[in-house]
Amino acid sequence: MSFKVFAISSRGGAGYDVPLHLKLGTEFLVILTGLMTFLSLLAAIANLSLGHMTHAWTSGLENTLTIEIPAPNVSEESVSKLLDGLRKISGVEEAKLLSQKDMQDLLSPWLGDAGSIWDDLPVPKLVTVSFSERTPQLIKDISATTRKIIPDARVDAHEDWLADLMKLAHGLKLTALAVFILIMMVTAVVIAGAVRSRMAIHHRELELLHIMGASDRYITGQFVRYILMQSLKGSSLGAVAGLAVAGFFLFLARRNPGTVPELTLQGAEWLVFAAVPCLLIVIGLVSARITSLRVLGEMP
Amino acid sequence: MIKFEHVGLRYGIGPEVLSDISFTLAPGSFHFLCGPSGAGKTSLMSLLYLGRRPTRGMVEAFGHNTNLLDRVALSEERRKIGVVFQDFRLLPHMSAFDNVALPLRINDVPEKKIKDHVEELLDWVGLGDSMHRLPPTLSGGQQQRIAVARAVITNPRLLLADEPTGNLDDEIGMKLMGLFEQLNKMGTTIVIATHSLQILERLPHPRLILES
Repeated sequence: MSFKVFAISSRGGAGYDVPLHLKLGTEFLVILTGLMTFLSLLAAIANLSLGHMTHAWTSGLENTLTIEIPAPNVSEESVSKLLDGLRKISGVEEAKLLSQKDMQDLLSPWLGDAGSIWDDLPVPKLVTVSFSERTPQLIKDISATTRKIIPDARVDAHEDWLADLMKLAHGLKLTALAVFILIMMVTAVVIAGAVRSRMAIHHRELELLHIMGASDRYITGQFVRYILMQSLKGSSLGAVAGLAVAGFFLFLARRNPGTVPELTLQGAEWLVFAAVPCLLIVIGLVSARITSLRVLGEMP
Repeated sequence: MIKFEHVGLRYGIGPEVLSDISFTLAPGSFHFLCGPSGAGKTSLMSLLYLGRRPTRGMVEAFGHNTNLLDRVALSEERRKIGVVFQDFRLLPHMSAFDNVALPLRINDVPEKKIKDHVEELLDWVGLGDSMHRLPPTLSGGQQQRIAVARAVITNPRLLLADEPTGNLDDEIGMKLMGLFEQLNKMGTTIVIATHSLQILERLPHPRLILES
């Protein structure tokens, strides 16, 4: 089994028997693969970053819940009893009543800092409970303990809005993945079209090679090498552009936190800048090979 | 070596351009293929160089029924055949050297051997000092000789030439025929499609005659 794809030849025409070095309308492949590499890099980075963001959100909220206690009806003693009861539940790491100051900090953006208002307003008390692992049984135990000690208290396990947030994040991740796959498919289809077009242009040369006894693999090797060279150029440009944009976003995010989404690639995930262009090149080569073999298969 | 039995050929759903062709070419033989224009000489040549499969009948080449050969085996059989086309069909982007070297590269011959063989052959056809020139910069006669060199570089068992003297003056045409005679004496089976009466009268080889 021999592959001549990487063979260096002293032949004219950049080493091609078929004059693929001539500019006959398929040079756009460099721009196309560059653009596709750039877009697929963005999609891949978006996918990875969204994964980190959802992890960060959920790890902050997933293992906590809040208990709201309507203010007028509850004594300090009942609250202390509730805190003790919660702390005794297996799995609960901490149960803490938010202080008056914490409440003021939370509500001041809406109510302002006027001191007297806090004495007049029936602000509920809030208890935050943190635990090691969220299980349905633990939430049930906390709710039961709360109901038993303070029947009017409401347990907010953040389940509803956390679920919505997770749905949104997963939807965005799936969209990024779908865009990534779509880009790969479009690349394969366009490269197949370009190969077909060049094979039609060079039909006479192909027929000559065929008559001389060139195997389908020999001829296909030339087209695969042509696509490899075009894709290498394009993907390199796309990867450089992707790195530049990622670097720019990273710079902006660090300089002005909150203005742009933070790029949160970690460790080996930076290899995406090498893996995505390589994947795109491989897809291009496979597409070129399949197309070329199919077209040659139409010859006798 | 080559055997046609009741061979027919049609293009697509058109009428048969060749009907009921039967003949045998013995190894080392020399034949002229004659017939009026439109009789199907070029089509018959394409069957001989295995560029097409017959739509009916059987073509046997080098002991194999070509109808039964797969694509890989058929391409291997094609490598035993050299073809000189009427319009030369040289690749204009490749030098004379590379054009002649092409069949050897297809046969996966090492570059060192290719260099020696091609240079020797180009010297033999009198183009030793033009081997790095591109075909469009060469005269018709020079291009013809490159086409012949390319056809014989692999020492084919069968050499086919389609109107090889059509673009040449009489003197160069007869020189070229002398070259074919030499190759035939060295054991190559030769079929030349021509309607040149001068050649047919001077060279007393058997004729395959196609009737329209």
